[in-house]
Amino acid sequence: MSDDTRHLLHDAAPSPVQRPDVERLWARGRRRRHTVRAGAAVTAIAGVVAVAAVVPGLGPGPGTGLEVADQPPGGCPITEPGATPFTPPEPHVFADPGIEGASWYGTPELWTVVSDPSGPQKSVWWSADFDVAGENGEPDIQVVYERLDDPDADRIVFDGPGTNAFTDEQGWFMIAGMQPDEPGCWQATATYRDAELTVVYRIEEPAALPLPPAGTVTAEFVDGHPVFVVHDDLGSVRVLDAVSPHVGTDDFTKVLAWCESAGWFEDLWHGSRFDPDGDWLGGPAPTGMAPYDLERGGGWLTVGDQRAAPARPEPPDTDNRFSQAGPSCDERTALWMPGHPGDPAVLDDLVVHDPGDAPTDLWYPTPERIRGEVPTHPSLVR
Amino acid sequence: MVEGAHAETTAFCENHYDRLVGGLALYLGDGAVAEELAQEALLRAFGRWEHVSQLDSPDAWVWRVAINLANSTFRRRAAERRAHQRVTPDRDLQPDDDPSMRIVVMRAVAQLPRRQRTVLVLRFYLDLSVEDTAERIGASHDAVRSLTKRAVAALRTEMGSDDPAAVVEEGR
Repeated sequence: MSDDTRHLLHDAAPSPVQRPDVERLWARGRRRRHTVRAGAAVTAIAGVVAVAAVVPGLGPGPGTGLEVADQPPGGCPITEPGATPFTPPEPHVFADPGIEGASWYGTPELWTVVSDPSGPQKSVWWSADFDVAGENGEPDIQVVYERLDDPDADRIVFDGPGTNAFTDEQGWFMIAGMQPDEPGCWQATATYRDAELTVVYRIEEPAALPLPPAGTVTAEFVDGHPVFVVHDDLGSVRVLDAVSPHVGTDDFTKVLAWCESAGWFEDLWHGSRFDPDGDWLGGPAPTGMAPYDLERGGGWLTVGDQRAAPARPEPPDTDNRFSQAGPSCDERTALWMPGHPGDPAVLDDLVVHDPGDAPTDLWYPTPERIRGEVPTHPSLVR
Repeated sequence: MVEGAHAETTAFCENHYDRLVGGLALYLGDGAVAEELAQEALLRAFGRWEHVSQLDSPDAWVWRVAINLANSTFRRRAAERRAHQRVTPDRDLQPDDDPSMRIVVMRAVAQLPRRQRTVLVLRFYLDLSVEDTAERIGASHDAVRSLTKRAVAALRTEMGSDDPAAVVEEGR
Protein backbone atom coordinates (compact mmCIF):
# COMPACT_ATOMS: atom_id res chain seq x y z
CA MET A 1 0.00 0.00 0.00
CA SER A 2 2.81 2.45 0.73
CA ASP A 3 3.97 1.91 -2.83
CA ASP A 4 0.45 2.64 -4.05
CA THR A 5 0.39 5.89 -2.16
CA ARG A 6 3.84 6.74 -3.42
CA HIS A 7 2.79 6.16 -7.04
CA LEU A 8 -0.42 8.03 -6.54
CA LEU A 9 1.36 11.10 -5.22
CA HIS A 10 4.19 11.01 -7.73
CA ASP A 11 1.71 10.75 -10.59
CA ALA A 12 -0.48 13.50 -9.23
CA ALA A 13 2.23 16.05 -8.41
CA PRO A 14 2.60 18.47 -11.32
CA SER A 15 5.98 19.39 -12.76
CA PRO A 16 6.93 23.03 -12.81
CA VAL A 17 5.65 24.85 -15.87
CA GLN A 18 8.66 27.16 -15.87
CA ARG A 19 12.26 26.64 -14.91
CA PRO A 20 13.41 29.09 -12.26
CA ASP A 21 15.73 31.82 -13.46
CA VAL A 22 18.43 31.20 -10.87
CA GLU A 23 20.47 34.26 -11.81
CA ARG A 24 17.49 36.51 -11.40
CA LEU A 25 16.32 34.94 -8.15
CA TRP A 26 19.80 35.29 -6.76
CA ALA A 27 20.01 38.95 -7.69
CA ARG A 28 16.56 39.63 -6.25
CA GLY A 29 17.27 37.69 -3.07
CA ARG A 30 20.48 39.58 -2.47
CA ARG A 31 18.97 42.92 -3.29
CA ARG A 32 15.94 42.40 -1.12
CA ARG A 33 18.20 41.53 1.75
CA HIS A 34 20.05 44.77 1.32
CA THR A 35 16.87 46.72 0.91
CA VAL A 36 15.61 45.35 4.18
CA ARG A 37 18.76 46.53 5.83
CA ALA A 38 18.89 49.88 4.14
CA GLY A 39 18.31 52.80 6.41
CA ALA A 40 20.25 51.28 9.25
CA ALA A 41 23.66 52.84 9.67
CA VAL A 42 26.16 50.21 8.73
CA THR A 43 28.87 49.64 11.26
CA ALA A 44 30.56 47.39 8.80
CA ILE A 45 33.65 45.45 9.48
CA ALA A 46 35.37 46.61 6.39
CA GLY A 47 37.54 44.64 4.10
CA VAL A 48 40.86 45.74 2.77
CA VAL A 49 40.62 48.69 0.50
CA ALA A 50 40.64 47.67 -3.09
CA VAL A 51 41.94 49.73 -5.90
CA ALA A 52 42.05 48.87 -9.55
CA ALA A 53 43.16 50.28 -12.86
CA VAL A 54 43.71 53.92 -13.28
CA VAL A 55 43.88 56.48 -16.02
CA PRO A 56 42.60 55.28 -19.41
CA GLY A 57 45.37 53.75 -21.43
CA LEU A 58 47.58 53.32 -18.42
CA GLY A 59 47.54 50.15 -16.43
CA PRO A 60 48.38 50.25 -12.79
CA GLY A 61 52.10 50.31 -12.26
CA PRO A 62 54.94 52.21 -10.73
CA GLY A 63 53.90 55.62 -9.67
CA THR A 64 50.25 54.82 -8.96
CA GLY A 65 51.26 53.34 -5.66
CA LEU A 66 49.05 50.28 -5.98
CA GLU A 67 49.02 47.02 -7.86
CA VAL A 68 46.28 44.69 -8.98
CA ALA A 69 46.19 41.52 -6.96
CA ASP A 70 46.53 38.23 -8.85
CA GLN A 71 43.57 36.54 -7.24
CA PRO A 72 40.68 38.86 -6.59
CA PRO A 73 38.86 37.45 -3.56
CA GLY A 74 35.19 36.87 -4.12
CA GLY A 75 35.37 38.14 -7.67
CA CYS A 76 36.11 41.69 -6.52
CA PRO A 77 39.23 43.01 -8.26
CA ILE A 78 41.01 43.86 -5.07
CA THR A 79 44.45 45.42 -5.10
CA GLU A 80 47.04 45.75 -2.39
CA PRO A 81 49.07 48.88 -1.76
CA GLY A 82 52.29 48.63 -3.75
CA ALA A 83 55.82 49.19 -2.52
CA THR A 84 56.11 52.67 -4.07
CA PRO A 85 53.34 54.95 -2.92
CA PHE A 86 52.01 57.64 -5.18
CA THR A 87 53.29 61.05 -4.07
CA PRO A 88 51.18 64.09 -4.84
CA PRO A 89 53.01 66.75 -6.88
CA GLU A 90 53.93 70.31 -5.89
CA PRO A 91 52.48 72.18 -4.15
CA HIS A 92 50.63 69.21 -2.62
CA VAL A 93 53.66 67.50 -1.20
CA PHE A 94 52.14 65.39 1.51
CA ALA A 95 54.04 62.22 2.24
CA ASP A 96 50.95 60.35 3.41
CA PRO A 97 47.29 61.26 3.90
CA GLY A 98 47.71 61.60 7.65
CA ILE A 99 45.26 58.76 8.27
CA GLU A 100 46.44 55.49 9.70
CA GLY A 101 46.49 52.72 7.12
CA ALA A 102 45.52 55.04 4.27
CA SER A 103 47.43 55.61 1.01
CA TRP A 104 47.36 58.12 -1.78
CA TYR A 105 46.29 56.70 -5.09
CA GLY A 106 46.06 58.12 -8.62
CA THR A 107 47.93 60.53 -10.84
CA PRO A 108 48.79 64.22 -10.53
CA GLU A 109 45.69 65.00 -12.60
CA LEU A 110 43.37 63.17 -10.24
CA TRP A 111 44.06 61.27 -7.08
CA THR A 112 42.25 60.12 -3.98
CA VAL A 113 42.91 58.51 -0.66
CA VAL A 114 42.15 54.89 -0.04
CA SER A 115 41.51 53.82 3.50
CA ASP A 116 39.39 51.53 5.62
CA PRO A 117 35.99 51.96 3.92
CA SER A 118 33.92 51.22 7.02
CA GLY A 119 31.50 53.78 8.29
CA PRO A 120 30.17 56.82 6.47
CA GLN A 121 32.84 58.53 4.40
CA LYS A 122 32.92 61.38 1.97
CA SER A 123 33.87 60.83 -1.64
CA VAL A 124 37.06 62.94 -1.74
CA TRP A 125 39.38 63.73 -4.68
CA TRP A 126 42.47 65.84 -5.34
CA SER A 127 43.92 67.32 -8.49
CA ALA A 128 46.90 69.56 -9.25
CA ASP A 129 44.49 71.34 -11.61
CA PHE A 130 41.91 72.11 -8.93
CA ASP A 131 41.86 75.85 -8.27
CA VAL A 132 39.42 76.50 -5.48
CA ALA A 133 39.24 80.23 -6.21
CA GLY A 134 39.03 79.85 -9.97
CA GLU A 135 36.08 77.47 -9.82
CA ASN A 136 34.33 79.34 -7.02
CA GLY A 137 34.90 76.26 -4.92
CA GLU A 138 32.49 74.17 -7.00
CA PRO A 139 34.60 71.77 -9.03
CA ASP A 140 33.05 69.93 -11.94
CA ILE A 141 33.81 66.51 -10.51
CA GLN A 142 31.64 63.55 -11.44
CA VAL A 143 31.73 60.19 -9.70
CA VAL A 144 29.80 57.06 -10.61
CA TYR A 145 29.52 54.21 -8.11
CA GLU A 146 28.66 50.76 -9.46
CA ARG A 147 28.32 47.37 -7.83
CA LEU A 148 30.65 44.95 -9.60
CA ASP A 149 29.10 41.98 -7.84
CA ASP A 150 25.52 42.91 -8.68
CA PRO A 151 24.97 44.36 -12.15
CA ASP A 152 21.28 44.85 -11.38
CA ALA A 153 21.98 47.16 -8.46
CA ASP A 154 21.26 50.81 -9.07
CA ARG A 155 24.23 53.02 -9.88
CA ILE A 156 24.87 56.00 -7.66
CA VAL A 157 25.90 59.06 -9.64
CA PHE A 158 27.28 62.33 -8.33
CA ASP A 159 26.90 64.52 -11.35
CA GLY A 160 28.73 67.57 -10.06
CA PRO A 161 29.40 70.22 -9.19
CA GLY A 162 31.05 69.17 -5.98
CA THR A 163 32.10 71.11 -2.93
CA ASN A 164 35.51 71.49 -1.30
CA ALA A 165 37.38 71.45 1.96
CA PHE A 166 40.86 72.11 3.29
CA THR A 167 43.03 70.56 5.95
CA ASP A 168 46.60 71.38 6.91
CA GLU A 169 47.60 67.77 6.26
CA GLN A 170 45.81 67.35 2.96
CA GLY A 171 45.45 70.79 1.34
CA TRP A 172 42.42 71.68 -0.76
CA PHE A 173 40.32 68.81 -2.03
CA MET A 174 37.03 68.16 -3.80
CA ILE A 175 34.02 66.42 -2.29
CA ALA A 176 31.54 64.70 -4.61
CA GLY A 177 29.12 63.35 -1.99
CA MET A 178 28.90 60.48 0.45
CA GLN A 179 30.57 57.24 -0.58
CA PRO A 180 28.14 54.27 -0.63
CA ASP A 181 28.72 52.00 2.34
CA GLU A 182 26.32 49.13 1.66
CA PRO A 183 27.99 45.73 1.65
CA GLY A 184 29.33 44.72 -1.75
CA CYS A 185 32.10 45.30 -4.27
CA TRP A 186 31.96 48.95 -5.30
CA GLN A 187 33.71 50.56 -8.22
CA ALA A 188 34.01 54.32 -8.18
CA THR A 189 34.86 56.07 -11.44
CA ALA A 190 35.71 59.74 -11.02
CA THR A 191 36.07 62.24 -13.87
CA TYR A 192 37.60 65.65 -13.47
CA ARG A 193 38.59 67.75 -16.48
CA ASP A 194 40.45 65.30 -18.75
CA ALA A 195 41.39 62.84 -16.05
CA GLU A 196 39.60 59.69 -14.99
CA LEU A 197 40.35 57.54 -11.97
CA THR A 198 38.81 54.22 -11.00
CA VAL A 199 38.85 52.87 -7.48
CA VAL A 200 37.35 49.59 -6.31
CA TYR A 201 36.63 48.93 -2.67
CA ARG A 202 34.76 46.30 -0.84
CA ILE A 203 32.43 46.57 2.12
CA GLU A 204 32.06 43.23 3.84
CA GLU A 205 28.76 41.91 5.07
CA PRO A 206 28.60 42.96 8.68
CA ALA A 207 28.93 40.11 11.13
CA ALA A 208 25.99 41.52 12.95
CA LEU A 209 22.23 41.36 13.23
CA PRO A 210 19.93 44.14 12.18
CA LEU A 211 18.27 45.89 15.11
CA PRO A 212 14.51 45.38 14.92
CA PRO A 213 12.25 48.39 15.45
CA ALA A 214 11.33 49.17 19.06
CA GLY A 215 8.48 47.03 20.31
CA THR A 216 9.24 44.08 18.06
CA VAL A 217 10.86 40.65 18.22
CA THR A 218 12.73 39.08 15.32
CA ALA A 219 14.04 35.58 14.69
CA GLU A 220 17.64 35.37 13.51
CA PHE A 221 20.55 33.00 13.30
CA VAL A 222 23.93 33.59 14.92
CA ASP A 223 26.51 31.29 13.38
CA GLY A 224 23.69 28.96 12.48
CA HIS A 225 22.16 28.99 15.94
CA PRO A 226 18.59 30.31 16.28
CA VAL A 227 18.07 33.34 18.49
CA PHE A 228 15.38 35.90 19.15
CA VAL A 229 16.18 39.60 19.15
CA VAL A 230 13.90 41.53 21.50
CA HIS A 231 13.76 45.29 21.21
CA ASP A 232 11.27 46.45 23.81
CA ASP A 233 9.23 49.61 23.91
CA LEU A 234 11.62 51.19 26.37
CA GLY A 235 14.47 50.75 23.92
CA SER A 236 16.38 47.98 25.61
CA VAL A 237 17.63 45.13 23.46
CA ARG A 238 18.24 41.47 24.24
CA VAL A 239 19.38 38.51 22.18
CA LEU A 240 18.05 35.24 23.59
CA ASP A 241 18.72 31.62 22.75
CA ALA A 242 15.68 30.36 20.85
CA VAL A 243 16.27 26.71 21.67
CA SER A 244 14.02 25.57 24.48
CA PRO A 245 15.99 24.85 27.66
CA HIS A 246 13.60 21.94 28.15
CA VAL A 247 14.76 18.79 26.40
CA GLY A 248 11.60 16.87 27.13
CA THR A 249 10.99 13.22 26.68
CA ASP A 250 11.36 13.03 22.92
CA ASP A 251 14.97 14.14 22.92
CA PHE A 252 14.78 16.47 19.96
CA THR A 253 15.70 20.10 19.81
CA LYS A 254 12.72 22.32 20.25
CA VAL A 255 12.69 25.89 19.15
CA LEU A 256 10.55 28.33 21.06
CA ALA A 257 7.98 30.51 19.37
CA TRP A 258 7.35 34.15 20.18
CA CYS A 259 3.62 34.32 20.75
CA GLU A 260 2.74 37.83 19.84
CA SER A 261 -0.87 37.23 20.77
CA ALA A 262 0.08 36.11 24.26
CA GLY A 263 3.12 38.30 24.83
CA TRP A 264 5.47 35.50 25.85
CA PHE A 265 7.82 32.91 24.39
CA GLU A 266 6.39 29.44 24.43
CA ASP A 267 7.58 25.90 23.91
CA LEU A 268 4.64 24.77 21.81
CA TRP A 269 5.21 21.12 22.57
CA HIS A 270 5.54 21.04 26.32
CA GLY A 271 4.11 24.37 27.27
CA SER A 272 7.00 26.14 28.99
CA ARG A 273 6.67 29.90 28.87
CA PHE A 274 9.14 32.74 29.19
CA ASP A 275 8.60 36.46 29.45
CA PRO A 276 10.15 38.87 26.92
CA ASP A 277 13.25 39.13 29.13
CA GLY A 278 13.69 35.37 28.77
CA ASP A 279 12.78 34.68 32.39
CA TRP A 280 10.93 31.47 33.21
CA LEU A 281 7.19 31.89 33.67
CA GLY A 282 6.08 28.29 33.97
CA GLY A 283 6.32 24.79 32.63
CA PRO A 284 8.90 22.03 32.77
CA ALA A 285 11.89 24.02 31.48
CA PRO A 286 14.71 23.92 34.04
CA THR A 287 15.88 27.49 33.38
CA GLY A 288 14.96 30.68 31.54
CA MET A 289 16.26 31.51 28.07
CA ALA A 290 20.02 32.03 27.83
CA PRO A 291 20.97 35.60 26.87
CA TYR A 292 23.92 36.63 24.69
CA ASP A 293 26.45 39.38 25.20
CA LEU A 294 25.90 42.06 22.63
CA GLU A 295 27.18 45.38 21.43
CA ARG A 296 24.92 47.89 19.88
CA GLY A 297 26.09 50.22 17.15
CA GLY A 298 24.01 52.15 14.67
CA GLY A 299 21.24 49.90 13.47
CA TRP A 300 23.23 46.75 14.17
CA LEU A 301 23.94 44.35 16.97
CA THR A 302 27.19 42.48 17.28
CA VAL A 303 26.51 39.28 19.16
CA GLY A 304 29.11 37.84 21.52
CA ASP A 305 29.15 34.84 23.83
CA GLN A 306 26.17 33.14 25.36
CA ARG A 307 25.76 33.74 29.06
CA ALA A 308 24.26 31.41 31.64
CA ALA A 309 20.50 31.09 31.50
CA PRO A 310 18.65 32.77 34.35
CA ALA A 311 17.68 30.30 37.07
CA ARG A 312 13.98 29.69 37.49
CA PRO A 313 12.35 30.21 40.84
CA GLU A 314 11.30 27.24 42.88
CA PRO A 315 8.12 25.66 41.55
CA PRO A 316 5.19 27.40 43.13
CA ASP A 317 3.24 25.43 45.67
CA THR A 318 -0.23 24.24 44.89
CA ASP A 319 -1.81 27.24 46.55
CA ASN A 320 0.21 29.68 44.55
CA ARG A 321 1.07 27.95 41.33
CA PHE A 322 1.50 29.34 37.86
CA SER A 323 -1.63 28.93 35.84
CA GLN A 324 -1.49 26.92 32.66
CA ALA A 325 -4.42 28.86 31.33
CA GLY A 326 -3.65 32.00 29.40
CA PRO A 327 -4.00 33.83 26.14
CA SER A 328 -3.87 31.56 23.14
CA CYS A 329 -0.85 31.47 20.88
CA ASP A 330 -1.97 32.47 17.44
CA GLU A 331 0.35 30.80 14.97
CA ARG A 332 -0.61 33.28 12.29
CA THR A 333 1.16 36.00 14.22
CA ALA A 334 3.61 33.84 16.16
CA LEU A 335 7.23 33.97 15.21
CA TRP A 336 9.54 31.00 14.94
CA MET A 337 12.65 29.97 13.09
CA PRO A 338 11.95 29.31 9.47
CA GLY A 339 13.55 26.10 8.42
CA HIS A 340 14.54 24.82 11.78
CA PRO A 341 13.56 21.23 12.46
CA GLY A 342 11.10 21.55 15.26
CA ASP A 343 9.30 24.40 13.65
CA PRO A 344 5.89 24.54 15.29
CA ALA A 345 4.27 25.38 11.99
CA VAL A 346 3.12 21.80 12.00
CA LEU A 347 0.82 22.54 14.89
CA ASP A 348 -2.67 23.69 14.23
CA ASP A 349 -3.41 27.30 13.49
CA LEU A 350 -4.15 28.33 16.96
CA VAL A 351 -2.65 26.89 20.12
CA VAL A 352 -5.65 27.33 22.33
CA HIS A 353 -4.89 27.30 26.00
CA ASP A 354 -7.26 25.50 28.26
CA PRO A 355 -9.37 28.31 29.61
CA GLY A 356 -10.23 26.30 32.70
CA ASP A 357 -6.61 25.60 33.66
CA ALA A 358 -5.28 22.19 34.59
CA PRO A 359 -5.84 21.40 38.26
CA THR A 360 -2.30 20.38 39.03
CA ASP A 361 1.22 21.72 39.14
CA LEU A 362 2.36 19.34 36.42
CA TRP A 363 2.68 20.85 33.01
CA TYR A 364 1.37 18.97 30.07
CA PRO A 365 2.28 18.99 26.42
CA THR A 366 0.51 21.74 24.58
CA PRO A 367 -1.15 19.36 22.12
CA GLU A 368 -2.67 17.46 25.02
CA ARG A 369 -3.91 20.62 26.62
CA ILE A 370 -5.37 21.93 23.43
CA ARG A 371 -7.18 18.71 22.72
CA GLY A 372 -8.66 18.83 26.19
CA GLU A 373 -7.57 15.30 26.90
CA VAL A 374 -6.88 14.27 30.45
CA PRO A 375 -3.12 14.57 30.85
CA THR A 376 -1.46 11.27 31.59
CA HIS A 377 2.20 12.22 31.43
CA PRO A 378 3.54 12.73 34.91
CA SER A 379 6.97 12.33 33.34
CA LEU A 380 6.75 15.99 32.51
CA VAL A 381 7.94 17.52 35.71
CA ARG A 382 6.81 20.84 36.96
CA MET B 1 27.00 36.64 -9.10
CA VAL B 2 29.98 35.24 -7.26
CA GLU B 3 31.27 32.19 -9.17
CA GLY B 4 31.11 29.61 -6.36
CA ALA B 5 27.65 30.66 -5.31
CA HIS B 6 26.51 30.59 -8.93
CA ALA B 7 27.54 26.97 -9.45
CA GLU B 8 26.10 26.01 -6.08
CA THR B 9 22.73 27.66 -6.49
CA THR B 10 22.32 26.39 -10.04
CA ALA B 11 23.04 22.85 -8.91
CA PHE B 12 20.72 23.30 -5.96
CA CYS B 13 17.84 24.31 -8.20
CA GLU B 14 18.65 21.52 -10.64
CA ASN B 15 18.47 18.94 -7.83
CA HIS B 16 15.62 20.20 -5.73
CA TYR B 17 13.31 22.52 -7.63
CA ASP B 18 11.02 19.94 -9.24
CA ARG B 19 10.56 18.08 -5.99
CA LEU B 20 9.92 21.28 -4.13
CA VAL B 21 7.23 22.36 -6.58
CA GLY B 22 5.66 18.89 -6.72
CA GLY B 23 5.55 18.55 -2.94
CA LEU B 24 4.14 22.02 -2.47
CA ALA B 25 1.55 21.44 -5.16
CA LEU B 26 0.36 18.36 -3.33
CA TYR B 27 0.42 20.17 -0.02
CA LEU B 28 -1.50 23.14 -1.36
CA GLY B 29 -3.56 21.44 -4.01
CA ASP B 30 -2.40 24.09 -6.46
CA GLY B 31 0.47 23.88 -8.92
CA ALA B 32 0.67 27.55 -9.83
CA VAL B 33 0.84 28.76 -6.26
CA ALA B 34 3.38 26.02 -5.56
CA GLU B 35 5.71 27.44 -8.19
CA GLU B 36 5.30 30.96 -6.92
CA LEU B 37 6.00 29.80 -3.43
CA ALA B 38 8.98 27.67 -4.37
CA GLN B 39 10.57 30.68 -6.04
CA GLU B 40 9.88 32.88 -3.05
CA ALA B 41 11.49 30.29 -0.78
CA LEU B 42 14.54 30.11 -3.06
CA LEU B 43 14.79 33.86 -3.07
CA ARG B 44 14.86 33.88 0.71
CA ALA B 45 17.46 31.14 0.75
CA PHE B 46 19.66 33.08 -1.67
CA GLY B 47 19.28 36.20 0.48
CA ARG B 48 21.07 34.39 3.29
CA TRP B 49 22.94 31.79 1.27
CA GLU B 50 26.07 32.10 3.43
CA HIS B 51 24.06 30.61 6.24
CA VAL B 52 21.78 28.24 4.35
CA SER B 53 24.52 26.63 2.28
CA GLN B 54 26.32 25.66 5.49
CA LEU B 55 23.37 23.69 6.86
CA ASP B 56 23.32 19.91 6.80
CA SER B 57 20.44 19.95 4.37
CA PRO B 58 19.69 23.27 2.72
CA ASP B 59 16.75 21.65 0.92
CA ALA B 60 15.09 20.97 4.29
CA TRP B 61 15.51 24.65 5.11
CA VAL B 62 13.97 25.73 1.83
CA TRP B 63 11.13 23.25 2.21
CA ARG B 64 10.41 24.53 5.68
CA VAL B 65 10.39 28.15 4.59
CA ALA B 66 8.07 27.27 1.72
CA ILE B 67 5.72 25.45 4.06
CA ASN B 68 5.71 28.38 6.44
CA LEU B 69 4.85 30.65 3.56
CA ALA B 70 2.19 28.23 2.42
CA ASN B 71 0.68 28.31 5.87
CA SER B 72 0.57 32.04 6.18
CA THR B 73 0.91 34.64 3.49
CA PHE B 74 0.17 32.43 0.59
CA ARG B 75 -2.85 30.81 2.05
CA ARG B 76 -5.01 33.75 1.17
CA ARG B 77 -3.52 33.99 -2.27
CA ALA B 78 -4.11 30.31 -2.90
CA ALA B 79 -7.74 30.74 -2.04
CA GLU B 80 -7.99 33.64 -4.45
CA ARG B 81 -6.34 31.65 -7.15
CA ARG B 82 -8.53 28.64 -6.62
CA ALA B 83 -11.55 30.85 -6.99
CA HIS B 84 -10.04 32.20 -10.18
CA GLN B 85 -9.31 28.75 -11.51
CA ARG B 86 -12.90 27.72 -11.29
CA VAL B 87 -13.45 29.84 -14.35
CA THR B 88 -10.17 29.14 -16.17
CA PRO B 89 -8.60 25.91 -17.40
CA ASP B 90 -5.94 24.29 -15.21
CA ARG B 91 -2.65 25.09 -16.90
CA ASP B 92 -0.80 22.38 -14.99
CA LEU B 93 -2.41 19.51 -16.75
CA GLN B 94 -0.42 17.77 -19.42
CA PRO B 95 -2.39 16.19 -22.27
CA ASP B 96 -1.07 12.69 -21.64
CA ASP B 97 -2.11 12.62 -18.02
CA ASP B 98 -5.40 11.41 -16.76
CA PRO B 99 -6.68 14.75 -15.57
CA SER B 100 -9.53 13.38 -13.54
CA MET B 101 -7.21 11.17 -11.47
CA ARG B 102 -4.72 13.96 -10.84
CA ILE B 103 -7.40 16.32 -9.74
CA VAL B 104 -8.95 13.73 -7.48
CA VAL B 105 -5.62 12.97 -5.80
CA MET B 106 -4.59 16.60 -5.48
CA ARG B 107 -7.93 17.53 -3.97
CA ALA B 108 -7.95 14.54 -1.67
CA VAL B 109 -4.51 15.42 -0.32
CA ALA B 110 -5.43 19.06 0.07
CA GLN B 111 -8.45 18.08 2.15
CA LEU B 112 -6.36 16.33 4.80
CA PRO B 113 -5.54 18.04 8.09
CA ARG B 114 -2.26 19.88 7.96
CA ARG B 115 -0.12 17.46 9.93
CA GLN B 116 -1.37 14.46 8.01
CA ARG B 117 -0.82 16.26 4.74
CA THR B 118 2.71 17.20 5.76
CA VAL B 119 3.61 13.66 6.74
CA LEU B 120 2.06 12.23 3.60
CA VAL B 121 4.05 14.51 1.33
CA LEU B 122 7.29 14.10 3.25
CA ARG B 123 7.09 10.34 3.39
CA PHE B 124 5.58 9.37 0.07
CA TYR B 125 6.51 12.21 -2.24
CA LEU B 126 9.83 13.41 -0.84
CA ASP B 127 10.50 9.80 0.18
CA LEU B 128 11.84 10.58 3.63
CA SER B 129 12.16 7.89 6.26
CA VAL B 130 10.07 7.89 9.42
CA GLU B 131 13.15 9.14 11.28
CA ASP B 132 13.83 12.03 8.90
CA THR B 133 10.18 12.98 8.78
CA ALA B 134 10.06 13.00 12.56
CA GLU B 135 13.05 15.29 12.71
CA ARG B 136 11.66 17.66 10.13
CA ILE B 137 8.33 18.13 11.81
CA GLY B 138 9.62 17.87 15.34
CA ALA B 139 7.55 14.87 16.35
CA SER B 140 8.32 11.43 17.74
CA HIS B 141 8.70 8.41 15.48
CA ASP B 142 5.50 6.97 16.89
CA ALA B 143 3.65 10.17 16.14
CA VAL B 144 4.86 10.05 12.53
CA ARG B 145 3.78 6.46 12.17
CA SER B 146 0.38 7.18 13.60
CA LEU B 147 -0.04 10.28 11.43
CA THR B 148 0.98 8.30 8.38
CA LYS B 149 -1.57 5.65 9.13
CA ARG B 150 -4.31 8.18 9.63
CA ALA B 151 -3.31 10.14 6.54
CA VAL B 152 -3.37 7.14 4.25
CA ALA B 153 -6.70 6.03 5.66
CA ALA B 154 -8.13 9.50 5.23
CA LEU B 155 -6.76 9.72 1.71
CA ARG B 156 -8.48 6.52 0.75
CA THR B 157 -11.70 7.74 2.26
CA GLU B 158 -11.40 11.03 0.44
CA MET B 159 -10.82 9.20 -2.81
CA GLY B 160 -13.79 6.98 -2.31
CA SER B 161 -12.06 3.78 -1.32
CA ASP B 162 -12.55 3.22 2.35
CA ASP B 163 -11.51 -0.36 2.84
CA PRO B 164 -9.84 -0.16 6.22
CA ALA B 165 -8.01 -3.45 5.75
CA ALA B 166 -5.93 -1.93 2.98
CA VAL B 167 -4.23 0.58 5.26
CA VAL B 168 -3.35 -1.53 8.23
CA GLU B 169 0.30 -1.96 7.35
CA GLU B 170 0.89 1.67 6.70
CA GLY B 171 2.37 2.60 10.05
CA ARG B 172 5.23 0.11 9.73
